[in-house]
Amino acid sequence: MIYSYCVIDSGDTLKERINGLDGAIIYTIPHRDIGLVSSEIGRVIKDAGRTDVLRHEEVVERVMGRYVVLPMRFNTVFGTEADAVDVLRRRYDEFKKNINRLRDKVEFGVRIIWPGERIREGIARAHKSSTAGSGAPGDTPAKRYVKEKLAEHETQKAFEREAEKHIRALESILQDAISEKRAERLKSRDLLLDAKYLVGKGAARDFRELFERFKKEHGDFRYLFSGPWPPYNFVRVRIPPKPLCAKGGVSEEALPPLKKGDRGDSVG
Amino acid sequence: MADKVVIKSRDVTLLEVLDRVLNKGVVISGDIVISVADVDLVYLGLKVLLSSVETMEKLRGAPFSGAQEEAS
Repeated sequence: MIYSYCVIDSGDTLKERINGLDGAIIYTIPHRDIGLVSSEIGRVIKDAGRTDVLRHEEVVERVMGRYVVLPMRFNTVFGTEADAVDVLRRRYDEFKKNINRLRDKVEFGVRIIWPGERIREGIARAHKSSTAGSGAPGDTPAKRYVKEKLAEHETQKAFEREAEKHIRALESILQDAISEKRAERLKSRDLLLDAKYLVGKGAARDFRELFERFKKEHGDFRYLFSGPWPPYNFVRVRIPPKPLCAKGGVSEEALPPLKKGDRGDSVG
Repeated sequence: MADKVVIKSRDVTLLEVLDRVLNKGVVISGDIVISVADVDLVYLGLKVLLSSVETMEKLRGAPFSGAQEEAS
């Protein structure tokens, strides 16, 4: 079986000797001017063990030093080299498009934790005191209920506006250094932002410095900054199961458009 | 205390690695590859762990920025 780590912008033999999972030697399975970085594996991986996961990542990072990499998801194993070549052949254009888009780019991760719960409580208190006395003594229970719901809604909106203010401040600082972003806001009340940024290698230093500037201006928040990573979050290659959108597979929405004549789903 | 900080920092970085390696990158599904569902099940547990780390940091009030890491 063939364990795969990443697709690279070369079909040449790797210049460096690298050991992969179980100490197996890494080699390239070529197709035209791209290659699949792989090693042989004699077992089926049944769980995501720490050693295997870290080895996978280490291989991708070492290869990233010399080539453009499209990292494979952990535990992508082909039965034979012919299966791997078939994927490279059928999806060549897609791989090339991603390689060109991600050339000389790295990924950074940013998580920002703010005291969201406390901020929301403050907003709710302020709203309550500003509207004190607005409830008439003769209000019916139904009317009181509606007023409470309205107050909750307004508090939530004000809370989201407050979050948006800080996120926009960050983005306006970082915008000149980033190529693409994937950001989720307020995944929980305290997780203000969980973002991944695609940054040109030449702009990586600027990106760090700009982020440090934001941190200094927002010292009461907490941060997790990581990178540079291979661009895991920016690869857009999803090869669906057969048939398309089968149960448990990848949704059609998440898939790249299929070209005419490309079944895009199975080995012929 | 210093050891605890180092361990915490390393674990947070491991979770960042897992978040990418197990769930992102080129995804090939179906019978063209030999895939194992158990990995996904383990990952579900890890996602819970990841949010637990965030909760732990919040409750402890420790500076999360102490976990700043290089992925190399």
